[in-house]
Amino acid sequence: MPDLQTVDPEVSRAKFDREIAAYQAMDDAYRRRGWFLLDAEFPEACVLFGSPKLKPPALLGAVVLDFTDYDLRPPSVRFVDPFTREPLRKKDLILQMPRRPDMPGVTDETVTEMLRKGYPCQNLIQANGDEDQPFLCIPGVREYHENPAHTGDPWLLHRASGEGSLVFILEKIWAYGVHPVAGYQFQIQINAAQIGIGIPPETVAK
Amino acid sequence: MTNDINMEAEELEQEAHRLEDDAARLEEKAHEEEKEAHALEDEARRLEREKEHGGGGHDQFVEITMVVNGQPVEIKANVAQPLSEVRHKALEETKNLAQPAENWEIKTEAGELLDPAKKVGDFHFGEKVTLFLSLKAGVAGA
Repeated sequence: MPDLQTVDPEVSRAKFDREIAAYQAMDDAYRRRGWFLLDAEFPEACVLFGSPKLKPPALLGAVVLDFTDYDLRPPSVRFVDPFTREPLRKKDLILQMPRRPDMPGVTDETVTEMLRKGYPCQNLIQANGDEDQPFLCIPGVREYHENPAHTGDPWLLHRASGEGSLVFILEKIWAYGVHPVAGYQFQIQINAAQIGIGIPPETVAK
Repeated sequence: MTNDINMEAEELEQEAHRLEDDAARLEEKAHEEEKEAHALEDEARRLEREKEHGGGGHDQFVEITMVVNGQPVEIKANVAQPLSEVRHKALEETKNLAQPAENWEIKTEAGELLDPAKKVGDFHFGEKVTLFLSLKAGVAGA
């Protein structure tokens, strides 16, 4: 069910248009990062994330930002299939957004090694279960502020901060989820065909 | 006799005034030359700094397009300025003053994080560069 628009739609639309215009002014730079604005029609904008670093380049994910009721409420962010625009379930999502724990005085190498060995790491993408839709769990995103765990951190305390803008949200997805992707990992399993061996008569032991 | 002495005294006095004027002019000239020497020294130092930064005379200033949360603003920055000053100016010009400047990270287009304490010239940007100011995730609010 679509969200209810309680703000004057013209206000939300004007703010949406301003966000899109600001994005389009820097479109070339964002494209080089691998961001593609696929469509933008109030209240939704769909952005695709690719990784130009990978060879061959890869499509890593897409999000639909919903600016209904903006900016009395922050935008909603949905992870979608870039081909069908259908919302993804957690188990189908390729993007991960791990956030490195803040450990002053610990070297990068040590942190990397700790994470490699399974040290718990905050993921900015959360979901109730593998079959549920994942959501972006950072201030400035509707799903964060409307989650019962964050009722003590209302959006209105953030509204003037710069969080909750189109570029802020896209930059966070890129910085934590797309930019760190460094390469492909392949797992190849080869099932060799069995070779039938006949025993020719001349090989019989005498 | 007395008249002669008075006349001579008067002439000597006039001569003394002329000499004083000459001395003042020479002193003024010396000041001007000293000033010129200082200016030449400054110019020499500037050229030396430019040579150190590999520039050809144009990179005394860098034209920085600072994209603050998606909003671009043009800033002409001196190479000797710390990057934090450019950040401060960009935040002021875009009226993004709700958060302390330290909560804004300075990144290149490729996402490389830049140290705001370093001077603009330390990064060897060339004549123009586009940088991005992005608010750290989760720093605002309650």
